[in-house]
Amino acid sequence: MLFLEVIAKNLMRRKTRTLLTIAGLAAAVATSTALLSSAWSFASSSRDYYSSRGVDVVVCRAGVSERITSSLSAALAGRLRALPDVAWAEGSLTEMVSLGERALIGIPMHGVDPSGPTADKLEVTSGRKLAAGDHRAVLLGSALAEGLKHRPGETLQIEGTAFHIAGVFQTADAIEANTIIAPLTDVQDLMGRPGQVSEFQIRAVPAANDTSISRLCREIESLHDASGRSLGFKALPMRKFVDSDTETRLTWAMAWGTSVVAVGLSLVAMLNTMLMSVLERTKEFGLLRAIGWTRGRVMRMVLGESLVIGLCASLGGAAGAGLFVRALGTWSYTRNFVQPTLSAEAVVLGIALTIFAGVAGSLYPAYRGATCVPLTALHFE
Amino acid sequence: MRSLTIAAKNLRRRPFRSLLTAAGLAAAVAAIVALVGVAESFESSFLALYTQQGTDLVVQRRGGAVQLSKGVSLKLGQQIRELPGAGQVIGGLMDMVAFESRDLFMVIVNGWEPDCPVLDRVKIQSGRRLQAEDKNCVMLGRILAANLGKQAGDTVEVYGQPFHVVGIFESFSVYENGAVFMLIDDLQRQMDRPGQVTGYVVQANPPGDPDAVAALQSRIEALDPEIAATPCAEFVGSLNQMRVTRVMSWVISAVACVMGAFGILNTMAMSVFERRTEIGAFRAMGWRTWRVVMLIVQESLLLAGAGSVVGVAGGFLAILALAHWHVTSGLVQGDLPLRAVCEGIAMAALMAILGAAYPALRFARLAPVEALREG
Amino acid sequence: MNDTKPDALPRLVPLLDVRSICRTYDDGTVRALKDVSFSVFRGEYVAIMGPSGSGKSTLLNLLGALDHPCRGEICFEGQSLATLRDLDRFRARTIGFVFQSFHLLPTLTALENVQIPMFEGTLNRRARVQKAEELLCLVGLSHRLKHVPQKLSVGERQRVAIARALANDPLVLLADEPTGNLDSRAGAGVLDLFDQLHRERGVTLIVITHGAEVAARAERTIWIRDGQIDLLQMSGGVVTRCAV
Repeated sequence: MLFLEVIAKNLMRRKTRTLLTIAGLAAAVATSTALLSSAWSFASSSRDYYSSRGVDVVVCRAGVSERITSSLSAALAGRLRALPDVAWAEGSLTEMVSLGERALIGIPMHGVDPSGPTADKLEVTSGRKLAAGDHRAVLLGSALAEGLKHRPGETLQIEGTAFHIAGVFQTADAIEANTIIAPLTDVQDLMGRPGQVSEFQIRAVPAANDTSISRLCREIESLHDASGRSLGFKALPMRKFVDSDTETRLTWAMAWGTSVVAVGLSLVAMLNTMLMSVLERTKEFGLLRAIGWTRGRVMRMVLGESLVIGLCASLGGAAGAGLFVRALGTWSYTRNFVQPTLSAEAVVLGIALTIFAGVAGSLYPAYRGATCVPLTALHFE
Repeated sequence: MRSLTIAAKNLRRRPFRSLLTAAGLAAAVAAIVALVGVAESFESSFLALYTQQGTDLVVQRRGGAVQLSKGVSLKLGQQIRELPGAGQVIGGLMDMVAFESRDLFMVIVNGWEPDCPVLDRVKIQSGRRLQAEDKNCVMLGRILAANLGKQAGDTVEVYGQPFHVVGIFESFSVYENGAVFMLIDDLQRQMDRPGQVTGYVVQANPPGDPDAVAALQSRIEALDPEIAATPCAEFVGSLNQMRVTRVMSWVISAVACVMGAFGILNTMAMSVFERRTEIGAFRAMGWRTWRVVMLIVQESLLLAGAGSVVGVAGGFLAILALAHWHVTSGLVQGDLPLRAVCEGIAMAALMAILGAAYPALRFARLAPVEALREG
Repeated sequence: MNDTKPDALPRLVPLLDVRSICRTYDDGTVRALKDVSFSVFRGEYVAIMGPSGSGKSTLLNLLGALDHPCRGEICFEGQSLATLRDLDRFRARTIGFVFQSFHLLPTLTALENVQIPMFEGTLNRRARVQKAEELLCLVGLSHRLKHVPQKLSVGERQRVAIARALANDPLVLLADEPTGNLDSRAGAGVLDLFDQLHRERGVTLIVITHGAEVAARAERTIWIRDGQIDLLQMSGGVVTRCAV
């Protein structure tokens, strides 16, 4: 018989209680894992969006909170292209639009140069790519096209204006597959933002490394106009840009906030369960100490029980998180931020948090059980 | 001796265990109270921003976000003022900025016209109010000024540009106390939205009169199909941010409730199991099943009561902490909404009843002799 | 203090040497044991007898290294307990307990219960199981290996407890009212088992009891009354003289 078997038998003795504790903890794990996964995949999806186009630096308006609504003058692209380390620089305008017929709102629409690198790298699977002279023609992401049941050649009402669907593009990222790509000038006209972009994407020269990219960012931020006033640029290496985005931060804040609450409640629940379990078994613990088990071994036994509970809860919770994330992926308010699949890192993090909560919550009960005086425990009535 | 007294004595016999159960409940209740409280207060203080000014309608582009990128033209404001039944019309531009060095990420910036009643309404704590001739000047809300460590006369960097702080103000609303006020043309310039506002808040004439409000609403919407005039409560409730906050707090409360329920089910089930001989004895003495179940449920409710008191206090402390943490102090008011307290207590009662009823029923239904024998 | 024997046997170091131990409770107001001294040699079968309240339980706790005397010392094979730091390990190696209420772990089978003390030892899993089987056969329970305590009769439970007590080859078996919860037949069976262990395997037994018929089975009896050794009692062999 192994030590592990003793632990398992102790747990199975009170099946109902063990199962209930596992269920409660699993609920907590499922929620935090789902939210952590959403935050993780949101950030990684944003990063993929840029890295698939080979973007090294992103330039936006300094000091703003909502980058999407901030504005920069499109003409400034020339100043950026003139910098020595820049291979190409492209401005894009991203807006949240509403689609007329189905009254869908909050769909991201990216306005780009039809002959620029972004439009060029799109994998268009039906219809055609955008061309230089296009007017009121758009490309739909594959998921969006499917959801709207639209095909190339049809018309789509965007913000009350009719657009022609030129083609449908394919992408691995579920979030990006729900976006619209259009010529920059069309988006500027549609949303009343003439001559504006919300950010510039820059690709550095092939010889660039991390140091030269940081230098480039500082150079960009120090650019000023003829009268000496700063152009108000904020330039960040692509990863940092994504990680410091307000939406990214918000999703992380919500995920961690929830996880903290979940861990706290799990700890209390585990403390409760284990303490009662230990108090019930005072005589047994007294006996074990009397026949020679060390305090350490008794503690290891109690901690082992909580570890097993934590592991079972993690597995159940991970499964629950998968379902939860799928639900978030269909709810209209979160669909644009959430991938419907779990990220592996979040699952690992969720398991780690649960085990931490479980073991931390059983430290005191384990100590109580182990340090009982055999004498009094045996005669305990 | 009433059943409740027996219940209380039973709890006192196992003081440590009763305490543990109540503590577990208290944790769940604290979580629920804090989360629902923050969400409630978030929404109600945002609503107060509008209602305190006597706003009847909010006029914005159709959509769902607090600030849309495609604004509404200033011309529209003039048109609304000329409509019959229209009282005060205030146009405002809003944006959000960040002060990264101070960990402040969602700071509201409001652009007002120089003669805007809002600038008159707020109490000037130091310095002066914005005037029409001011260029690149701002007023800071009290909480924001404290977080930034700025006073009247200092310079502050907004949008990467230097602005002169003409005054510090105090408002009834936590949002305004954490905000930056500037003149509308300055903000329009920074946001590159010449001649646009985010929307208008409109008072009907006579103010508050439901017929006047409804009539005005249809007249305004007739001006432009793209815009919507919404009564403020409805407007605030429909905002995306509100929706998301509500759902988040509901989700976490649900999790807390589930965990609390499991916890109390656990302990009550154990307690009932141990006392099955006692329960058998009650039945043997003639107590009917429902009476025995009521006894157990009463014990559970007493525990829930104790847990609720501690939980509500704990939740309140959590809310206060958030109201003082600089990252969230501009968004969280620090009050304890009644609804949060009620929901917390209701959840505790629900958890207690559910947690106790099932195990109690199981054992109370046994024939007394069986229950006594198992011992 | 020294021992004298009527026939001149060579002098041996006693297995257990109790020297003038005292134990008081409640800040000195209750004196459970006063100046008790005696010895037990390897291979002896000794009964400690006395009415309730005489201090038997206290003495058991002290002998079993579950408690410390206020004065005096207890030595096992010449080594004083007061000098040991790790009493847990000591108990595992030296003492086998048999309790009145058996104290078996309810979720484990007889075979598993016997293995519990062996976890602190060095045997691997297979050796542990084998040894447990042997011990259970020794006590006559080879057909009950996989039964949990609930499925065993009270007599069988005590036998499992005895097998468990022998698991680590202890120096001494310490039994507290071993037949207290047993009917007369089961009790007789257990006492027969003690005889067998003593005779065939030379196990050193100390049995604490208030029953004369239990004490009669032992080689000699030490009487306790009011916390002190009361009489000399001889039943077949060795006399121990004690300070009063």
